Amino acid sequence: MSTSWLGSHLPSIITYLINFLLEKSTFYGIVIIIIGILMIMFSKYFKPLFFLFYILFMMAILGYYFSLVSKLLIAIFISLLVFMPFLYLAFKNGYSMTVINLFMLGYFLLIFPAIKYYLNSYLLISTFIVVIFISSIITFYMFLLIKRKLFLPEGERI
Amino acid sequence: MINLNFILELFKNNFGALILLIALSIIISFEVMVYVESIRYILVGVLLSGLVFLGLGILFYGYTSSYLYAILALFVAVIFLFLGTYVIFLIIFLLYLFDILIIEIVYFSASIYSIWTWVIAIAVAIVMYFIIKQLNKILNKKLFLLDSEIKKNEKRDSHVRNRNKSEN
Repeated sequence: MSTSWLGSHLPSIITYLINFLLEKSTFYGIVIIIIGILMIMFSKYFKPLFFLFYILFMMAILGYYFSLVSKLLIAIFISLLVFMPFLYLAFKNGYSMTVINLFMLGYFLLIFPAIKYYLNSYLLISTFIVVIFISSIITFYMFLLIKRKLFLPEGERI
Repeated sequence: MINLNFILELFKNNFGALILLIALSIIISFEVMVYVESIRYILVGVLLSGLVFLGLGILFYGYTSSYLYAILALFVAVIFLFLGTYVIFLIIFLLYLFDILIIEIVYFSASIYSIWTWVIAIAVAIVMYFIIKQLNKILNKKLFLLDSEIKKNEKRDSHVRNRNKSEN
């Protein structure tokens, strides 16, 4: 029975990625947590960054199609203009959860090498997962409070 | 052979497995709720931009009956996927229901044939579902509300600074 390329290679790709992350897991954990913190601190630049990436994306598409069919070019351009606000809303909706996921992954990579030999029962694994999840949510709120303290003067806080 | 008794015995003998199941179902549902909402936005965008695209096709190349088929196919596909997102929410709800039923049967010795077991399980599952949904909403709003607050503050500050400058 023949399997597809992805079907035969996906397990090895996933294993490779996991090994790659776990090889220097402390370093990658810290990097991922720092990315999460930056995402919280600079979330007010989400809109301009989104627009920048979107413009780059459209420029790439327009550059590809420009010499071929100008009508198709206009159609894609206008369709993308219609599509853009929805994509923006979609990304904005998942922003906080993505940050929390990054924290979770970061904590997982940080702690995992130290305790992987102790995770030998369901109870310990579930405690590990719950602790990581709750601590990532707490980290998210903590950095929100820090951001509030940093960027809003005393009298303005609610 | 996996059957109901096997599952109940597993959770009876292994408290950690039940905690793991509940923790995983709450965390996964927490994430799925957010990203499925995002998929809905994208689906609406796909529908509208697809209609614009087809409209432009009609404008440039003239109307043919194949366009009607394309519009119909687009609507059917998007509505099918949109309903699929509600099915995902239903699966989350069923997952909660399964968790609570197992807790009731294993730890409170409730009978699965009693109507009250099901009534309580459904009620708790609905409450749990809405709590998780509200938490999700609160979580995402917190960050962007703070941003808009900071922006307002910056605008007011710059206004005051400009006024002071002009007065000087």
